[in-house]
Amino acid sequence: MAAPATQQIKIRCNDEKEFTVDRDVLERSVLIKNMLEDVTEQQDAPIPLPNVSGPVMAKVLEYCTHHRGEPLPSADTEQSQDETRKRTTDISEWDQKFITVDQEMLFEIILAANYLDIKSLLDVGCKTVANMIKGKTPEEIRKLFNIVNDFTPEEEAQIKKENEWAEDR
Amino acid sequence: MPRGFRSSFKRTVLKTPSIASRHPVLILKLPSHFQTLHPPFLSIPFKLEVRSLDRSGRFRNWQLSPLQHTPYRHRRHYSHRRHHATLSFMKFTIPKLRWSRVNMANFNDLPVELLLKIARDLPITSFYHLACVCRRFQSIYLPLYLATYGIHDPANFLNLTIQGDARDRDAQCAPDALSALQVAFYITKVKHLRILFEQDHDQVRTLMYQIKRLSRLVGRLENIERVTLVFNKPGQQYNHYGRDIDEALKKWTEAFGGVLNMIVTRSCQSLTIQHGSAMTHCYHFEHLRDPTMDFVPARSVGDSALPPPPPALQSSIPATLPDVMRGTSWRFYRATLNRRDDNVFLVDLSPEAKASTALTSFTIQSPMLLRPPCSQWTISLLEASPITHLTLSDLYLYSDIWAAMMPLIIRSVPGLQDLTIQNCNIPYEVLLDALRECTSLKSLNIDRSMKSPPVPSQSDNPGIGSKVNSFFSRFTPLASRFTPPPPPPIPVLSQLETVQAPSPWVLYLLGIPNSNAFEGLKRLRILPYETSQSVSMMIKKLSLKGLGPEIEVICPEVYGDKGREGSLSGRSFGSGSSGSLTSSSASSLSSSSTSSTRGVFGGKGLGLLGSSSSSSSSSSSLTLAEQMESSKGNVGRGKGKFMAKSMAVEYKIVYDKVEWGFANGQPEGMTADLVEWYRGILDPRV
Repeated sequence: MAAPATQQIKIRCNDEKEFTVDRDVLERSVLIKNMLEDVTEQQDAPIPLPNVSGPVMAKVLEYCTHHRGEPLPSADTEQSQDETRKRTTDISEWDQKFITVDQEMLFEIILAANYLDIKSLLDVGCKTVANMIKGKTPEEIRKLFNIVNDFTPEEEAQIKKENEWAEDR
Repeated sequence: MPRGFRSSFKRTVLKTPSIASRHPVLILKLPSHFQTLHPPFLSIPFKLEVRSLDRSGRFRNWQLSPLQHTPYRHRRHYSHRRHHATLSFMKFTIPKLRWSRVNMANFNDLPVELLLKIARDLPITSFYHLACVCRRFQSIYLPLYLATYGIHDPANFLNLTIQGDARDRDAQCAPDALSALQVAFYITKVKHLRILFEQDHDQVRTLMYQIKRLSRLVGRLENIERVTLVFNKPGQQYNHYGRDIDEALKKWTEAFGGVLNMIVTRSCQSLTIQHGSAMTHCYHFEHLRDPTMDFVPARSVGDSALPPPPPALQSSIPATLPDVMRGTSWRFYRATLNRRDDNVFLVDLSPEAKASTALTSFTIQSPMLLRPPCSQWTISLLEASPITHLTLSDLYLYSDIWAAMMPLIIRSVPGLQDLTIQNCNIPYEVLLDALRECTSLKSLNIDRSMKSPPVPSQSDNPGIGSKVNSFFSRFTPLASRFTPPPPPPIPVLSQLETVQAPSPWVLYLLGIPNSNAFEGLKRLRILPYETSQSVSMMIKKLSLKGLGPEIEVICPEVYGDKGREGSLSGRSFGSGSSGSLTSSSASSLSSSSTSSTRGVFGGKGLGLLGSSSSSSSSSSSLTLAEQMESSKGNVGRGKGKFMAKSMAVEYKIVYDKVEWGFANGQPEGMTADLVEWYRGILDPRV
C-alpha cells in the first residue's frame, strides 16, 4: 500500500468525540478532501467539524468506508437535471439497509452529507426522504415528520375544502 | 420568564402523553394571559421540563425546547395575524420515547436547497401535497408546482388552463393548477387573470363545476385588474340533468352569474369573454313583425324553422321581465318542451357588483353575452360601469338579434369613447343607428369584415358612387339580398379623433358635404377595399372639408391577412402648405421592424423620401415575396411586395415630374403596377 492511502487523519466532532480514519475514506467528503489538499504538512491536530455530532459522524464514516475507492461523481454530471430525474429513486441494496435509520438520524445524515459535501450520500438521503413523501397526503406528511401545521384556521379550512372538493360534486 | 408560566404548564402537561403510542403528542394549552404575549418572548431560548411515566413504571424527566418544535423557529414566516391563532395551543411532539438529544433534526430543519433537491426525486403531485403541509413548504413547493403548469409569475399574469375532465370521477384525487392556486395564500392580487376552459366534451355540468371552482379562487383574491375568460366549447349539452333542462339552466345561471359578479367586485377594470354559448339554446328569438321597421332583415334558416309560439303565450310573459327579453318588434322566449314560458332564469348583476364595478373596458367576444340568460347581466353591467372602451369581436348573430341588442348596448354606455368592431356580422344599418347615439366617441375601429354601407352618390362626381357600388356588390354579395334602402342619416361624430375603417366606411362617413362629422379628426387609418381611387377620393373629400388628419393606408398583402400588412401614410394636403407623408410598414415581424419615414412636400410637388432603419432579414422578405407571387389576382399583391422590399431600400418619389427616383437605385419589387398605385393614391387630381 502506498503511504498516502494509509495515512491516518484525526477529526473531531462537535461533541468532542474524535475519530481516526484512513485518508481515502475521509476523502469521500469533498469538504475534507479540499481541506487536506490545502494543508500539505503532516498535522497532529484533529480537524474540527463543528456541524457534525459523534453518532452521526460514525454513521457517515460507515458509509464512506463501504464506498471507499469508488470514483467521485464529477460535478458536471450532477448538473443535468433531466439525468437526475431519469435516475429515479432506486437505491442500492446496501445503501438501502444503511439508510434504514431513525428519522432524526436520517435528517442528521442528510445535513452532515450536505455539510461535508458527500454527493452520493446526499442523493441517497434525499431519495429516501422522497420515497417517504411519495403518495402521501398533507396530513400524512405532517404526521410522519412531526411538522407543525402553521396555517391559520381559515387557511386550513380552505386547504381542506380544496382537497375534499372532488367529493361534493 | 413571566411569572406563572411554569406553574400553568405543570397543571396540564402530564395529562396527555401516551406511552403506548410511539409518537405521543403533548398539547399544552397556554393560559389566556400568555396568548397575548408579544412574540419575541417566544424567541427566548427556554427549556421545558416534562416528566413522564415510562413503560417500566419509572418516572423520567425530559427536557424539551419548545422552540425546536414550534413554527416560531422559522420566524421569517411569522406574522402577528397568525400569532394568536397558533399560540393558543403549543403542540409538542416527542418523536421517540428513547429521545435523548434535544436538538435532533426534523424534516422542516432542512435548508431550502436540500428541500429543492428532494423535490427532484418527487412526482409533481407531491409538490402540491407538500405545499399543503405548512407555510414554509408552501413557499418552496407551490411555486415549483405552478411552474410545471407554466405559471411563473402569478401576481402579474396568471394564465390558467382548466381541463374539463380534471376532476372527473376517475381522477378525483388529482389536483391541478387551480387547486394549487386556491391554497396559494401568498397570492392576493393578480394583474391579469386569463382562464381557458378546455373541455374535452361539450357538457354544461363539468363546465359549471369548473366555474364554481374558479369563483372560489376569484373570491379569495382581493384584486384583479384584467380578466379574460375563454371557452373552447359552446357548452350546450346537459345530459346529466336528463330532461330537466330547467334545473340545469337555473344552476348554470347561478354558477356563471356568481363568478361574473365576483370578478366585477374584485375591482376588475378590463374584462374579456371569448366564445362559448352555454345554455343560450334555452331561449329562442322571435321577430314580431312590425310595419314600422324600415327594412326586412334576412331571417336565418335556423330561426325561421321554429314554429311561432301560440298567440296565447305572448300575453303570459310576465310584465316584470327586463327589457333585454322584449322590445317593440322582438322578444326572447323560453323554449321548453311543454312550452311553458314562466321558467325564465337570467343571470343578474348582483347589488354588490353593481355598487362596486370599476370596469372601463369590456371586450365581448362571446355570443352568449348578448343572448339570454347572460344578456341581462351584460346590459346591467354596461349600465352600471364607467365603460369607455367597448370591443365587439367574433360575434356572429342573426341580424334580427343585432337589431334588438345593439341599441340596448349602445344606450347603456353613454360615455363610450372607444368602439372597436372586429369580425362581426352586424348589419350596417344597425351599426349606423348605434353610431348615431355615440356622441362622445373619440376612436372608432371597424375592420374589413364589416359589411359596408352604400356610399351616397355625389353630386360633384357622379361616376364614383356607381363605381364604388359596383365594387361593393363584388365584395359583399349579401348586400344583393337586401333591396337597397334609402341611406340612413349619417351619424354625427364630432368628437371623433381616430378612425380606422375600410375605405367604403370612411367614404360613407365622409359622405354628406355639409355634415360636421370628422371635424376633429386627427388620425385616419384606411383599410382600402380595392383600388387607389377610393383612397385618393377620400383624400380629396377630406381636403374639401379642410381637414388634415394624418392618414395611414393599410394595404393587405394577402387580402384579409391582418397579420402582415404594409402601409402608407401621409397627411392630406387640404391645407396645401405642407404636410408629412409617412411610409410605414406594419409588418407583423416585430415592432422594431416598423420603418417610419417622413418627407415634406411643398407647392412644387410631392417628395416621398423613405429611409428605412429596419434590419429585417432578406430571407423574410423573400418568403413574403414568394407568398405574393403565389397569390396572384389579389388586390394588394404588388403593394405587399413593395412593402416587404421597402424595408431594406431607400426610395424617393418625386411626384409632379412623374419621375421616380430611388436613392439606392430602383428596388426590385417596385413594379410598374405599384408605381401606378402610389401615383393614384397621392395624386390629388384623380
